[in-house]
This record gives sequence, C-alpha cells and structure tokens, in this order.
Amino acid sequence: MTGGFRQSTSWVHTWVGLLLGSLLYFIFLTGTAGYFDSEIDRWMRPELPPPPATVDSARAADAALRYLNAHEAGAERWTIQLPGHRDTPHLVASWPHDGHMEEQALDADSGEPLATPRETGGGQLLYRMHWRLHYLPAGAALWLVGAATVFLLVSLVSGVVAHKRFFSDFFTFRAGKGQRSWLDAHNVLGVMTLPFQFMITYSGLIFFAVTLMPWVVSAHYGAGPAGQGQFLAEFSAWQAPAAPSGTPAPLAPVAPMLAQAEQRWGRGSVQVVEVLNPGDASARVQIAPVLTGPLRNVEVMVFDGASGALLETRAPSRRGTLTVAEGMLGLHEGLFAGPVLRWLYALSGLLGTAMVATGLVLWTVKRRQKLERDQGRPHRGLRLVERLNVATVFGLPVAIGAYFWANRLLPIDLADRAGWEAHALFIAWGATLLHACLRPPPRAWVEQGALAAGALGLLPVLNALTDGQHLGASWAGGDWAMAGFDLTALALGSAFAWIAWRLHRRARRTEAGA
Amino acid sequence: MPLLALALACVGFAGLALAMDRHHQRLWKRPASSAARWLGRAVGLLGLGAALAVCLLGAGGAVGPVLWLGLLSVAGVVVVLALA
Repeated sequence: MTGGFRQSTSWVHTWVGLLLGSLLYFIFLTGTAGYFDSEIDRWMRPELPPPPATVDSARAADAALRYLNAHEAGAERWTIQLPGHRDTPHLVASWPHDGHMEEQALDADSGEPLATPRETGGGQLLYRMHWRLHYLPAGAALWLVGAATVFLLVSLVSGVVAHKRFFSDFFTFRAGKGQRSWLDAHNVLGVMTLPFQFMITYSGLIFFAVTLMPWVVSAHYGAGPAGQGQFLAEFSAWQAPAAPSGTPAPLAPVAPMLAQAEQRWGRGSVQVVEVLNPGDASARVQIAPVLTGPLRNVEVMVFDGASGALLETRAPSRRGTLTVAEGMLGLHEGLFAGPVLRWLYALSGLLGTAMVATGLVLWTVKRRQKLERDQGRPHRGLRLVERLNVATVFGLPVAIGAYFWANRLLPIDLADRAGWEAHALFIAWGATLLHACLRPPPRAWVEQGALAAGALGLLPVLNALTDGQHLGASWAGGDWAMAGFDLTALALGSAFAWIAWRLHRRARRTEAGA
Repeated sequence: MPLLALALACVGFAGLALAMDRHHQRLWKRPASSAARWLGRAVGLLGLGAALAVCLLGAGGAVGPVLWLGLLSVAGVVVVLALA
C-alpha cells in the first residue's frame, strides 16, 4: 500500500510539476526580484539624486507640507512618506486625484520637486508580474496564478511524500552522476528551503482567498463588488474619515507631533504622515511608524490638525483572523525585513527558483538516460520539453536583462515607454524560445547561458556609459541601492558565465566522444 | 549577530550530518561509532538551538524565528556543498 501510495504521489508530482513548471519558474524569479523592488526602482530612475544621507523628519515633513499647501490645497487627503527608509528613500508627497494617487518626489530640505525621472515600470512592474502576469486581463491572471499556487502546494506535499529518504538523504549531493545528481540537487534545494516554500505558497494563497473562494463572502454580504467592498472594509476595520466642517483653519505645526511620535517609537522611525481634510477645522494628522514586524496593522498616533493636540494613540487591531491573515501576508512580502533578512528572503527565493529549474531538467534527463539505455529514439514530447526548458531556465534571465537594457536604450520621450520596456522583456523571451527551437539543446544551453551572462553582467557597464552612474560614483556617493543593483547584476552575470563555460566544456567532451 | 547565528547553524548541521554513516565514512573512512553518533546529534541540537536563541535575543520574538529559518536554509546548503 505504501509503495502504491508513494508511486501515485510521485506521478502527481512529476506531471503537475512539468505542466506548471515554466509558469512557476516565472512566478518564482520575478517574485524574488520583488524583494529588491525599491532598489530596482532606483536603478531604473537614474535621474533621481542619491537619497539624502541624513534625514531630519520634521524638516522633511515641513518641506512636503509647503509643497502640498502651494499646489494641492483642495485635496481631501495628503500623504507624506518621509525619506531615509528602504522603500521610501526620497521624500514623497501624494494626494488622491480622480480615483488614483498622484505623487511627487521632493527635495527633503527645500521641498522643491526633484527632477522628473524617465517613464519606467521600474521594479514595481517586474514584481507585479509574479501575481498579475502581463497582457492578460486581471481576472484571468489571478485565476491562473491562483491555480498554479494551489498546484505548487500540491507539488510540495507530494514531493515530500514521494521523497523516499527525506532524512537519510538530508545532506546528500552526489555530483557528476547524471540523473542521480539532478535528483539530489532537486531534493536538497526543496528540503533545505521547505519552511520558506510552504510559507510563501500558503500565504500566496491567502492573497487569493477572496478571488478563489468568492462564495464565502457572497453568502454573507451578497454577490458583486459592493458586497466584497463592504466585507473588506469591515474585515480591515477601516474607518471612513469625518466629513470636513467647512470652517477653514490653518494646520498646526507638525514638528511637535513628530517629536511626540519619535519619542514613542524611536528616532527616525516615523515613515508616514497623513493629513485628512487639510485646511479645515476638522483636519486630522495621522502618524505611522516604519514596519518592524510582519504585522502591517500598526499603532497610529492621531492629532487634531487645528490645535495640534494628541487625540489618541490608536492601538492596532489584533482580532484573531485579521492577525493571522496579516501575519501571513506580511511574511510573504517581507516589507519589515532589514538588509540581512532581505538577502535571506532573496536567497530562499533563488533556491526555490533553482528547485523548479532542477525539477524541469530532471524530467528530461531521466527520459534521455532511459532512451540511451534502451537505444530508443527521443519522443516528440521529450524534444519539446528540452527546448522549452532552455528558453525557461536561461531564456527568462536573458529577458529580464532585456527589460533593464530597454530602460537605458529606449528613447526618453518614447510614447508608452514603460509599456515598451515590458514588451522588450517578452520579445526577448520569445526570441530565446525561437533560438532554443533552432539549436540542438546542449548548444542552446551554452549559448543562452553566455547570453544571460552578458545581459546581466554588463548592466553596470551600460549604467556607466548611458548615465555615468558607474560603481565608483554610486559607492562613493553612498547610493547603496544603485551600487547594490550593479554588484548583484555583476555577480549573477559571473555565475551564468561560469555555468555556461562548464556546459561548453561538457558539450565539447560529448561531441568529441560521439 | 546574524553571522554568529549562521556559524552556530552550520556547526549544528555539520554535527547532524557527521552523525550519519555516509558522511562520517567520507571524511574519516569508517562508519560512525555509537559515541560519535551521539556526539554529532548533541552538537547538532545544541548548535541549532543556540542559533535560535541568538536570533530570538537579537531580533525579537516576531522576526527572530523568520531569521532563524532563513539562516537554516543557507547553513544547510553550505553544509551540503562542503560535504559534496
């Protein structure tokens, strides 16, 4: 019975993995890049100055308020993101306009608008692709990624069940043994990152809970968007702001409010200052700290905008279901993670990406070796998967490289420039698929590996040539996001070069032997 | 702090691995004696436990376990590569 059950599980794992492998690889890789979305944003907007080295919260908030007062006095709400944090390196003022938020980056001292950067999708678009894909309508994309996530969970569970020697092979990797080595690598990558894989998959499903299981909400709130909106508002305990009184009143100085907040949470720990009904006697100033843990529902200090008096220190809601859901979503996004934990998130994501890649390769190596033993001819399906694998595993990094090259090489005033950056990604990806179909797979691996090495490894050079933002300058200027992007691209490029070189030697040996 | 926790986790995993015959044999050309097996497991539990303690003390109860699990993944891969 055990053997039968394990074999069926192994069958499910193999075929679910093959069917969704390419999509999961795309989700893993773009999602991993998402852990550095702000750093990628920085690289793709070279016009912005390096972030300020030291930040005076009160001075920055005053600068933003001066700008908002002069330009957006009639807005119903002002949101100020204070500089000096990873995801808000610059001072940013934003306000609602026609149902969306307009924003302007400002100099933290003078409040003058910063240079308008080029139009780009930035790290945000790349990160968005891992759940929203691209080109597909939202509904279709969410269902597709949602289904892939369900099947990833199935793959994880069936993978653990199908793994015959989970503990005795816990530390085992036997190199240079063909199929055996690929299986070892796939197992070790999966086992070592298992906590991360389960966390990321399960929490990913929680993001989709309302999409994938709409009837749970519909049964209580009625079908349709209105019911869903009401559910979300009640679930998140969102409070609508009070209506303006109609009596104008100037805003009290925010420096004392910030001083109280920093006294409570620590220096430099305030991230968001929000003014509701600015310019009105009923104005409220809400101050929120930077996230230090997975729960996004944080303490907020609310001040009377006219008198400056502290009205309340609103404790975060800690209702059971909300806290569990928030904890899961917070763990998934890792917004609270400092540099060390952020790199651990990214490494776990890369190891997960490698787990998917080794699984895909394993499927073909296993069948190839069987064919060689039986001296059979490769099946059409095997040849197709071999080619798809090259274009997935090495083609996607090439395509992501093309996204960054397009950012620097497309004309600055091109219409729909951000759209064309994304087109460049998918055109390049299509080209790698075409290339993989035209070349014998062992050569295609080498050539696309070398291409990925160039596409990523030469990004620092491209950066230096097009914008003069060479590593020396960004390093000396303390522009760590810019320097970090360049160094990471260099490291990834070197890794691909090493892999391509090894594959080249092996391909030559095989050709010489044949 | 993270470096200390990473080092402890590596030592812990190395202990657990060397308590297994296959890896013990590779390094010392003979299967692990029963004493060596128990020593390896003890080092393993103590190393991983100490790494958790360091993470909890350094990063608090909410973030500490996340940090610990992330470091375990890296330490595990490091030990596997060292033994390969």
